[in-house]
Amino acid sequence: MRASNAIIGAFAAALFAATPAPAQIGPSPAPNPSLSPPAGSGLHVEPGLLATPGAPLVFAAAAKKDGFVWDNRPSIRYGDWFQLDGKALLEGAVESHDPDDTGEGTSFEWGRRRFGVQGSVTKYVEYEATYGWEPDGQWRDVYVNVRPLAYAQVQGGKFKIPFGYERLTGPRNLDFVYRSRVSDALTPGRSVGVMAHGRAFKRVIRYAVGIFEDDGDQPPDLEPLAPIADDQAAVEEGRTWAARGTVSPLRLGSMPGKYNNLEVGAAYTHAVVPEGRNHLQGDTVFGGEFFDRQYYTKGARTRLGLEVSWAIGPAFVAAEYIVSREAREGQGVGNETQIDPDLPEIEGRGWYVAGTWVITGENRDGGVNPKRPLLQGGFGAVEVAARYEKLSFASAGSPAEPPSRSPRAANIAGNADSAWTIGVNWYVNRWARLRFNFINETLDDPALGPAPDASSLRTIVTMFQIGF
Amino acid sequence: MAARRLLAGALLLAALCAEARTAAAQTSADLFNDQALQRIDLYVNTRDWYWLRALPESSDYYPANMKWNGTTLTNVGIRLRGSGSRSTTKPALRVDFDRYDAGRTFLGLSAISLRNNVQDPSGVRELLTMKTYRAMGLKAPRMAPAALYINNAYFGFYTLTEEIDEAFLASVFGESSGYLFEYRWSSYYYFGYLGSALAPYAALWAPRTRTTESQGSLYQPVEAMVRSINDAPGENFVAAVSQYTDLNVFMRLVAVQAAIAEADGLLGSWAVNNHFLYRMGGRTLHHFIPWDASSSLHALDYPLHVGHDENVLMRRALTVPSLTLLYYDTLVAAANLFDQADGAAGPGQAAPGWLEREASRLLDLIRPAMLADQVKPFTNAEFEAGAEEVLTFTRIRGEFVRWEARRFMPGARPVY
Repeated sequence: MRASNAIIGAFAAALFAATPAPAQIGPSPAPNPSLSPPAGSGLHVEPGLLATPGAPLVFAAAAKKDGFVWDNRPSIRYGDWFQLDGKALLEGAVESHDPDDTGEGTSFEWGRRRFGVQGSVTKYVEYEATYGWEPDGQWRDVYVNVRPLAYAQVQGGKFKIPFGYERLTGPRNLDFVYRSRVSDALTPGRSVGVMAHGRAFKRVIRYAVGIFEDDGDQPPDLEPLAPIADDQAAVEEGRTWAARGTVSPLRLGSMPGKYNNLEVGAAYTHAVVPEGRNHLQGDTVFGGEFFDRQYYTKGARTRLGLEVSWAIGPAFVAAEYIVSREAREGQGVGNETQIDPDLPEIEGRGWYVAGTWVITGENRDGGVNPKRPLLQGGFGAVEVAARYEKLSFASAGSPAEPPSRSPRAANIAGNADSAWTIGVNWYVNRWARLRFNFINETLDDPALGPAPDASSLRTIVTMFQIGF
Repeated sequence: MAARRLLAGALLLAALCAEARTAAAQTSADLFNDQALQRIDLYVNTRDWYWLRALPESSDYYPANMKWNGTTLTNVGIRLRGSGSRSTTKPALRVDFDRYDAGRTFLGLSAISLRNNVQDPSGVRELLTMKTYRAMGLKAPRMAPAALYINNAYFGFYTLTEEIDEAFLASVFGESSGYLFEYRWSSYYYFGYLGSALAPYAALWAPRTRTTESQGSLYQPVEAMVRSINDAPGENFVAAVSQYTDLNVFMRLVAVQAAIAEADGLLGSWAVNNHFLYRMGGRTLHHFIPWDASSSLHALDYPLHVGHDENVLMRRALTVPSLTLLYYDTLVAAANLFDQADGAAGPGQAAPGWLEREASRLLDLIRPAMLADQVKPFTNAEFEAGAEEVLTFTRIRGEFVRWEARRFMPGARPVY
C-alpha cells in the first residue's frame, strides 16, 4: 500500500508540475540540449561522453534570459559565460517473479534517486556533479570537460568509461526497465580518469580514448587474496585503458536527417585484475546469479564491444555484441610437468537485439518527447519495445577436461542466460514516464541459478520515472 | 620382415589390451591394497598449499588434482582434517572427489583420507588394528600405506584410509539411506543417560548424513538407545537394548579393541571415543564403526578390563552371562589370530604369528618412505624404536590376552 501510494504521489506531483508550464509544451527542443544528444545523432548518450555539441550551441536554444530560469529544469544563466542547471531523477518499480521462491510476492523498490548540477563556464568548459542515493550513496558523475575544439576535447573526473552503447545511455533514455544482461555484466561503468574525445567530419566520426584508475564500478568489488610469503608474482589492480569509436556513414550521403543517424561502433578496454575470485559475474533479472564468482583469476581483463543503432522516425533498433576475457595466470593446480600453470581465460560473451516503435508517432531520434502530454490535451506518447539477448560464460578455447566447479578448473562449469523482453513505455509528459516489462529468462544450467528447479524465470516489472 | 612387423603389432596390441584391462580392473580394493606402498600424487596450487598449512583451524577446501596408479583425477577438493592429529607441518588430509562435481566418485568412493601418523612413530598401528578388525569379521575402514607426493616432490609417509561415508555404508551394510554420526569427544562420557532433551546427544554425535533433518529425526532414537542402556530393567536389558544396538557385535568389537590394546576406543582410557554410529534407514538399530586407532597397540600388558566399570553399556552387558562369555571367547579368538602361524618355525624359535608377520611385512614396506619423510614429528631412530615396540607387542600380546582371559573368564580357576 505504501508503495502504491508513493507511486501515485510521485506521479501526481509530476503531472501537477507539468501543468503550469504550457509555454514549454510542443515540439520544442529537447529538455536540455546539453543532456540530450544533438539532433540527428541517434545516440542517447550520457552527457560528457560522445555527445559533443558544437562550440557555442549548448545553451543556444534557451539562453535568452539571465538569472534564474525554469526551462524544463531549474537553471541559473549569465549569457554564454555561465550556466548551472539542476537535475534530478527518481525511480521506483513494482516487481513480481515466477517462481516466487522468496515468497515476497509483488514488491516495491526504489530505484535511482539522483540529484545534481551541470552546466558550463564559457563555451570551453562543461561540468557535472551528480550524487546518487542508490544503493549506498555515492557521487556518480563528477567531471569537467574542456573543449577548445569539437574534435579535441579532454574530460577529467569521474564518469563512465567509454564502452558499451547501452551502458553509456543515460537512464532517462533507456528503452527497458533494465539494461541488457550483457551491458550489466560485461561493461565497466564509471571510474576516475581522463579521456580525450571528440567528433569530426560533421559528426560522422566520434572517438574517445581514456585511462582510468580502475576497471569501473559496474563489476563487483575486487577481493584480492592476501599475499603469501615470498610471493614475487603478486599483481595489483592496474589502470584501465579504454577506446571507443563510432561512425555514422549515412551522414555522408543525402538522406534526410531523420533517417541518417545509423551509427556503428567498436570499443575496447584493457585492465589488470589482482589474484582472487574477481571475474565478471552473470546476474539474472529475476534476482541472483547464474554465474557466480567461483573461479580464481589473475592478470589482464579485456573487453571488445561492437554496436549498431539506428533511429528511423518512430522506430529504433539497436544491437550490441560484447566479449570479455579474463586471464588466469598461474592459477592452475599443476601436473607432472608444470606447477601452477596458467589456465584458459574465462570468457564472457553476450549480445542483444532490441527494437522499439512509438505508436503515437513521435520521432525516436533524440528521445521520445510527447507531442500531446497527458492533461495537456493528450495522452502522452506510447512506445512498444522488444529485446532478445544472451549472455554466457565459459572457459576460452576447448579444454579437454570435463567442466567443473573447482575454483581452479581448466574447464569451468559455465552457464548462459537467454532472455526475451517485451515492453510498453508510456511517456506521460517530458518529465514522467512509466515502463512495463515482461521478461522471460532461460538458463542453460538452472542448477547454477537462483531457482534450480525452474526451467524459466519470469519477471514482471512496472517502473515509474520522474526526472529533469 | 612383414611377419616381424605383424608380430610387433600383435605384441603392441596385446600390451595395450593388457594395460586397458589393468586400468579397467582397478577397484577400490587395489587402492587399499596394503601389500604395496601406494603412491598418491597431489597437485596443488602453491598459494593453496601455503594457506592450507598456514591456517590450522580452518577446514576450507582447496582444489587439487590427484594421481594414483596412472589415473589422474582432476578437480578434487582437499582440506585439513583431524583433531588430535591436526598438524600444519604434516597435514592430515581429506580428499573429496565430489567436492566440486556433485555425485562424482572414484573407484566407487566419494572421498579418502590421508592420515598423517603423527601420533604413531611406527606408522603401522592403525594399519594393523583395522586389519585385525576386518580379520575378526567386524566392519571397519580399509587402509593402505602410502607415499604422498605434493607437486612432484615426496612429502611424507601417510596412511590411505577409507572414509566412513555413504559409499562405505553401501559397501558394508548394503544400503546408505540411514543416519550416520561421527562421535566428537568433548569430555569423559560413558553412555550415561543425558536426559530427554536431544541437544546433549547432538553435541556428542555429529550427523554426517541427512544433516538437514530435524533434531528429532536424528537423535530421538539415539536418546532412546541411551535411555534403554541406562534404564532397562535387568531381566529385560538384552531385549530392550537389542532394539537399538546389536549387543553381540558390540561385545565382539570391544573385545577385539581390548585384545589389540586400543587405549582410545569405545572403552579406552579417555572413555567413549573414536567411532561412527550408523542407524540404517527405517530402523532403530545402531552400529558402532571404529575409527582412528592411533592409540592402539598401546602396551604389551594393556588390561583387558579398562572401562568395564565406568561404561554403563559394558557394565550392564557383563551382567548377561552369554555376553560375558562372548567377550572372553572373542578375546581368545583375537589372541589366537595374532599368533596364527603360517608354516613351520625356524630352528630354535617360534613361528611368527599372523600379527607379527603383518607388522613385519608392513614395517619393511614403509621403512624407506618413513626414513625419507622429512616432515614426520619423529626421528628415524624413534621410528625404529617404535617399530621394535610394535614387533614386540605382536610377539607377546596374544599370549598375554589368552592368559588374562583365562584368569577372568566366568568360572575360570586361578591360573598359576
